[in-house]
Amino acid sequence: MSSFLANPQFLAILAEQKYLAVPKASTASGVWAAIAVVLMLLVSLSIGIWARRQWATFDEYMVGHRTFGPVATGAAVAAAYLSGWAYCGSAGVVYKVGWSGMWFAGVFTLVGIMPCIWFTARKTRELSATLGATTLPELIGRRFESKAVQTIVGLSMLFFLTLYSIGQLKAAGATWYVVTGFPIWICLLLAVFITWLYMMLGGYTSTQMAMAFQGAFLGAVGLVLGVWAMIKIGGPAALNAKLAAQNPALVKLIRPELPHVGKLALFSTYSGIIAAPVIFFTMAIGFPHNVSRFLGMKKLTSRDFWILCISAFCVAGIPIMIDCGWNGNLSRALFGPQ
Amino acid sequence: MDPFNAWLIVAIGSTLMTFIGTWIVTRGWKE
Repeated sequence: MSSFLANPQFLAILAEQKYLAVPKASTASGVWAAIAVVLMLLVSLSIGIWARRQWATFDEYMVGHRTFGPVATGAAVAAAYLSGWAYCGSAGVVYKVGWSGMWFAGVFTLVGIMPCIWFTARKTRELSATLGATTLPELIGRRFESKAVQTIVGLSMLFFLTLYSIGQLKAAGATWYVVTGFPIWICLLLAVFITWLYMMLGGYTSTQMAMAFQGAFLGAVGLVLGVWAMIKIGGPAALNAKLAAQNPALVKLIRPELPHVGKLALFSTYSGIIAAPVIFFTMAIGFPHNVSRFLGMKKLTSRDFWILCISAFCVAGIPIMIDCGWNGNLSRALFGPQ
Repeated sequence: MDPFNAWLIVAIGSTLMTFIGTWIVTRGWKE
């Protein structure tokens, strides 16, 4: 910190701190957002129509022909893993508390997704093909020869993924609210409707391919937006100087002055910061929506497995670390406190 | 520590973890 305060450039920035105006929701921004979503849905619909030709039986509808390659599977599993938190919540936390927020915001993204692939990809694919299972509850039920286990797994997924989806719909609704300015309940309904439409487009094959497309797209957005904003602001040193000018605590790696209990413990205590990678590891390794991406994968060679890991890394690795670590700070420096 | 450098260390560390972990997992695979 002292280096910032001794820096004449920093003092100059401090003296003339100016912020960009926060864009307001308007008809134009709403229309552009709607056009973008329609384009995304059209791509998904095209994939759905293409996928429709690929299946003739219910099993094929569920898992295709188990021929998905490692590039598509890697991008799809990364897209499944990246939630509303990765693209909305994480940047918001960092915007609010500064660099210390990155520990929980998702800088440990790879600690979650890579073990999931290492430990579950090959075995899920092999077991599901051998046992003829098309869903995870069915896979586990057949593996342990127990309908009771299958039912418990199915009900658990239904219960916890319902709770989980609330966060995703909330993030989607908030995004619509930001770009349209419509009442929040309309935005939530819009999010639910679009999600429903997307899911109805047709079976595992289209979902897998549409997710692969989305994953690649989201990865590119996270990367380009972060790097572009970092260049615009003048690099990491200028970013830190601007943040410190607003509040020196924003450039601290831990915020011990914040309360040590509740959610803020994740930024204010070492135990909270250390807990973050443990949370990412334990949650992502068994996310059903991650693991189910491996059901329709082709049999992997070690070369395919490398491609699978690199594909997931390219989407859920550095782009998300940039999104979670940089973008909130960059927004705070550019737009100031709101 | 400069916070950007801390981010960089995690980014490089995670990348190394990814490649070393994948190498360990695929070591000795029977095709």
